[in-house]
Amino acid sequence: MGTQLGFDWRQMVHSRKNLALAGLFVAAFIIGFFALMWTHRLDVGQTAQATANAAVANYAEYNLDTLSKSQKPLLANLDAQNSATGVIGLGIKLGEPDTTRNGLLSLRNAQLAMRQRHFKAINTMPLPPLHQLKGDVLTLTRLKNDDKPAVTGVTTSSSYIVTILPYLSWLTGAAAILLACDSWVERRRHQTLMTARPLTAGVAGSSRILTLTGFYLLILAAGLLAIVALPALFNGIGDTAYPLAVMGKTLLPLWQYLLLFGGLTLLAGIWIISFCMLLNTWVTNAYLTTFIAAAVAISPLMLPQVFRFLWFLPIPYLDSYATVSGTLIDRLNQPLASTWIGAGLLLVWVIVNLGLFGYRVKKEVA
Amino acid sequence: MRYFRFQLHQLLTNRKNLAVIGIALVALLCQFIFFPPNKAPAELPTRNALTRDRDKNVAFVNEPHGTLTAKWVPATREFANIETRMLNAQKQQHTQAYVKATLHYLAFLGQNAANPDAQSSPFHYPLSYYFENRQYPDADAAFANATMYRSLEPLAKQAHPDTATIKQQTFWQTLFRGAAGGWLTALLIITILFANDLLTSEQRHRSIARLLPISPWHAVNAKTFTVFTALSGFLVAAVAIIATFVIPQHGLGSLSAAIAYYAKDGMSIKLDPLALGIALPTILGLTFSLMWLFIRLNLLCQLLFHNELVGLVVSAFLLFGEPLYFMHGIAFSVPQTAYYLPGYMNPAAIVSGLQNFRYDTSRMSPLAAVVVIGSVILMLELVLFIVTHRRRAAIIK
Amino acid sequence: MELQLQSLALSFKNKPHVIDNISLTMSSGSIVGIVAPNGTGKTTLLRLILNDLKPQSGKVVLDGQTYGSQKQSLAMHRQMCLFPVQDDLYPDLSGKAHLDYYARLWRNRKKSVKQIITALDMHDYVNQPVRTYSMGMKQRLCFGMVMAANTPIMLLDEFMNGLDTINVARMSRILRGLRAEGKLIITVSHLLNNLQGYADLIYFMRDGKIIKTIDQHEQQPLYIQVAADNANRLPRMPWQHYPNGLLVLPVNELPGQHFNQLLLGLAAHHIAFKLAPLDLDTYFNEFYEAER
Repeated sequence: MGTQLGFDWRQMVHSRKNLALAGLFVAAFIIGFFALMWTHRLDVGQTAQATANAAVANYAEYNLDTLSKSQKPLLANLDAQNSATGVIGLGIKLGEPDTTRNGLLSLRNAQLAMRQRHFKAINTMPLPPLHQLKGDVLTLTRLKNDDKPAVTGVTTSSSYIVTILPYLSWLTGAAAILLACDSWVERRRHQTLMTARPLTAGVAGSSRILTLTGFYLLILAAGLLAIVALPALFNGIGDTAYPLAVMGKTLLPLWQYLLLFGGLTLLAGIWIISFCMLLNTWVTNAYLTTFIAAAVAISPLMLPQVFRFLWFLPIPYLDSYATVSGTLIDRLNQPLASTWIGAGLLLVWVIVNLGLFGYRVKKEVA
Repeated sequence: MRYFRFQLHQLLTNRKNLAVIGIALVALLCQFIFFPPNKAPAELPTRNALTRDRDKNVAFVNEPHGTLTAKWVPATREFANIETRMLNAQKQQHTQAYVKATLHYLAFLGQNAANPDAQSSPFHYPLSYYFENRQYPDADAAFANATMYRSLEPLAKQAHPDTATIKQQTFWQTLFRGAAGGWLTALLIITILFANDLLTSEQRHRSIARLLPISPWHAVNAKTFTVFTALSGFLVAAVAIIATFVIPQHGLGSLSAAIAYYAKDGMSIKLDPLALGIALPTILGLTFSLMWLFIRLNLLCQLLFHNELVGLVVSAFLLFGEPLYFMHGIAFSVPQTAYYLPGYMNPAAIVSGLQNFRYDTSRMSPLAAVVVIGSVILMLELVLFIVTHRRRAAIIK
Repeated sequence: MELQLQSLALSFKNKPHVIDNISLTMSSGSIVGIVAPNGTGKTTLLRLILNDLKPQSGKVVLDGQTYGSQKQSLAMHRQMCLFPVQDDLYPDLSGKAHLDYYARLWRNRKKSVKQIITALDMHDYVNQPVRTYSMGMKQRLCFGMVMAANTPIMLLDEFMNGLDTINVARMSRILRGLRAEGKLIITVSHLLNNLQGYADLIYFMRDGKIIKTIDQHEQQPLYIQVAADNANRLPRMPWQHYPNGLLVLPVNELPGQHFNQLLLGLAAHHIAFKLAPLDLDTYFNEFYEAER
C-alpha cells in the first residue's frame, strides 16, 4: 500500500494538469481580491442601492392600492427598507462604520419581517433567503452589542473571506471535478503497466482516492493561504473572531466557522472525487466525466422542487455555504436539509460510491 | 486540400467536439422548450396585468383624496386612459392603435417612473428589473423603455403592424434577442473549445504530424478553416432549430423592423432606429471576426506554450474578464476602458448601443469594435506569421 | 541523388557526444543499415537527418541542399519519409485512410495504395480502425505508409519489430524492390542476420562514432568458426575468442597447407565448424558485449 501510495502521489504532483489546476485555483483568489477591491462589486453599498431602488418601485406599485388596508404594513416595511439603505449610504459616505452597521441591521430586520410575514412584494423585492436574514440579524446584533463594525466590502483578510464565502463552493467544486475527472481513466492509458500487478483493486482504489484527497487538501490549503496572505499584505488580517451564523441560529467566530465550512467542503470534495472515480469506470473520457459531474453538481440549483423530495441525496449539500448558513433549507423548501444531516449524508454516500467503485473494478478485472 | 479534409475529419470525429456540439444543440432545444428567448418583453404588459393595473388606477381616481394624494389624480387618470386605449385596441385587434397607445404608455412611464423629482410617484417600471439584483435597475429599465419606444415608432406609421413584430417575436427579432441574450457568448465558447486543442492533439501523433511535408503556416491556416467550416455547419443547424420553433408560430418578420442604437455624447443621448437588415449582418460580421480572433489566439498559445491551458485561460479572461475592471458607474473615471477588448465580446450589445449605455459613452460603436478587434487580430496574425516562419518552426514540439 | 552527413555532432545535457563527428555519404539505390545497442544514438541520428533535432555542429546535405530556410527544409522533407511510431497512428481511422493520407500529402502518383495493400497482404483488415490491429498489423501499416509516400529517401527505424518470419521475408523482398527503384533506404534494425541479407552498407556505432563499416559488395575475409565448447579438442592455433561463444580463426593468416589440415582434422573429430565471413551478430557481440 505504501509503495502504491508513494507512486500515486508522485504521479499526482508531477501531473501538469494538476499543477495547472492548483496554480489557477490560487490565481483565482488573487485576481478576485484585486477585482473586488477595484470594482466594489459585492460591497454593501452597491447591494443596498439595489434594494433602495426596488423599494421605491414596489412602493409605487402598492401605495395606490386602496383595495385593502392590510397593505399599510407592507408600505411601512418598504419605507423601512428604503430608509435603512439611506442610513447605510450615509455611513459609507461619512466613513462611520457604526452608522453603516446599524443601517444594515435595520435593513435586515425589515427584510426578515417581509419574509416572515409573506408580504405581497416578497417576489418583487431582492430579498436574501430566510435563514441568511436570520443569520445576518444575529451577526449584526452581536456586532452592535460588541460595538464592532460589520463587513461592508473587501479590505482585510477576514472581510475577503466573509464576502466570498457564498461563492467558494463553485471554485472548490470545480477544482475537485477537474482534479478527479481522469482519476481512473489514467489507468487505461497505461494498460500494460497496470495489468497483472500484484495489487488488489481495493488497495489500488484506496491509494488513488487517498492521494486525490491529499492533493485536494493541498489545493484548498494553498487557496486559503492566498485568501489570507494577500489582503493581509495590504490591509491586515482583520477580525478573526468575526461572528457568522450557522443555520441562522448559532453564532461562531470566523475561525471556527471556517473549520466547519472547511470540513464540509472537504467532505463534498471527497464525494465529488469518489463520484468521478466511479464515473470513470463507465465513461472513459475525461471531458464527458467533467460534464456529467458538473451537471449533477448544479442540478439542485436547476431543479430545487425535485430535490425537495430528494433531500437524502448528497448533491444539494455540495454547496457548503448554503448548507452551513441554512439557505439550502430555503432553496429546497426542505427543513431536513441541515448541516449535520448534510454532512452525514455526504459521508454515507462517499462510502456507497466507494463500494460501487470497488464492485465495478472487480468486475473489470474479472 | 488533402490536409484540410483530413483535419476537418479529425475535428468532426473528435469526441470532445461532438459532445460540445451535442450539448449546445440540446441546450438550445431546452431553452426553447423551458425558457423561450422570444417571450413578450417586460415593457409590454400582458392583458391581465394591464387590466389589473388599470382597474387599480381607476379605483384610485374615483375615491376621495386628501391633499397628499390629490396631486396624483390627474396623472393617474391620464395613465388609466392610456391603459384603457391599449386594452381596447388589443380587444379589437387594431394593432396600429395598440402601437400608438403603447408608445404613449412608454413615454408616460419614461417621464414619470423613477423620477427623482417626483418622490412617492405611483408609477414604476416593470418590477422584474428590481427583483433581479441589478446595480442600477432604474437606469436599465429606462434604457429598455426608451429602446422599446424607438423600435415601435416606425410600426405606428404602418396601417396593420404585425403583432409578432410588435412583441418582438418574429424570427429575425428572435435572432437579435437571442444574440443579445447569450447565444453569441455560447458560440464563442464553442469556438474556443474547438480550437483549444487543434495543435496539442497532434502531439499524440508526433512522428506523423511533425514531419509532414507542409509548412506550419499552411497547417495553422488549414486548421483555422476547419474550425470555421465545422462551426458554420453548426450555425446552420442552430438557425434551423430556431426557425423551426419560431417561424410557424410568429413568422419570419421583416428585416426592416427596427432596433434602437444608443449613444451618449456628454449630456445628450441619441437613440436612433436601426433596421435589423443592417444590425444582423453587422452582428454576424463582428461575431465571425471574434471567432477568428479566438481561433488564432488559441493556435498561437499552443505554438508558444505547447499546451491547451494557456489558450483557455487567456480566452476566458477576454470573454469573461470585463467585470474584473468595469462596473456600471465607474467608467466615467477611467474612459480608456471603453477600448479594452473584453468590452467587445458581445456584438449584439455593441450594435444596439448597450455597451455605450453601460459605459456612458458613444465610443463603443460597431466601427470601434472593428478597429479594436481588427487591431488585435492584426497583431495575432503578425505574431503567428513570425512564429510559423521561424527556421525550425513546427506545429508541435 | 546523394545524402551527405558532414561532421554531425550532438550532445545532450545528461548525455554528451551522443553523435560525435559523424560523416557519411549515402547514394540512391542502396540500403544502409545502422547497428548499435539500444539508447546509443541510432534514432537520434535519424532525427538529425530529418532536422527534427538540430546538430551542434555539422550539417546534412542532400544533393547540395541543406536545411536552411523553412522553404529549403520543406523541400528536403518532400524527399524523405520516416517510418511512423505505432503509438502515433490515429486509432479511429482505418489503415487505408492512413495510406491515402500519406500518398496524397507526398503527392505520390506513381504507386497506387491498392498495390501497396496487395504487396503487404493487408486486404483483410486495412478498412478496419487501427485500434483493432495487432502489433504486427500496425508495423505493416506503418511500412505501407512509407511506401505510400514513395519518397526517394526512406528512414526505417526498427521496422521489423513484431513481425513473423513470413512478414520479415516479405518486407525484405519489398526492400530489395525499392532499392532497385533507386531509393535510398536508411534502416535501423536489431534483426542482424536479416539485415545482413539485404543491406549494402552497414555502420556500427559506438560512443557517437562510426566504429566499423561493412560494405557487403566487397569481398569479406573468411573465418573458420567453431563453438567455444570444443576449445580443448582444437589444435593449438591463434584462435580468437568472441563473446558470443565462438572461437574464430582468420583464414588469411593460415598458410594453405595448414588450412587443409585443419579442416580435415576438424571433420575427422566431428567438430562442427563454419567457413564464412563473420556475421553481424558476432561483430555486435565483439563490439558491445566485450564492453560489458
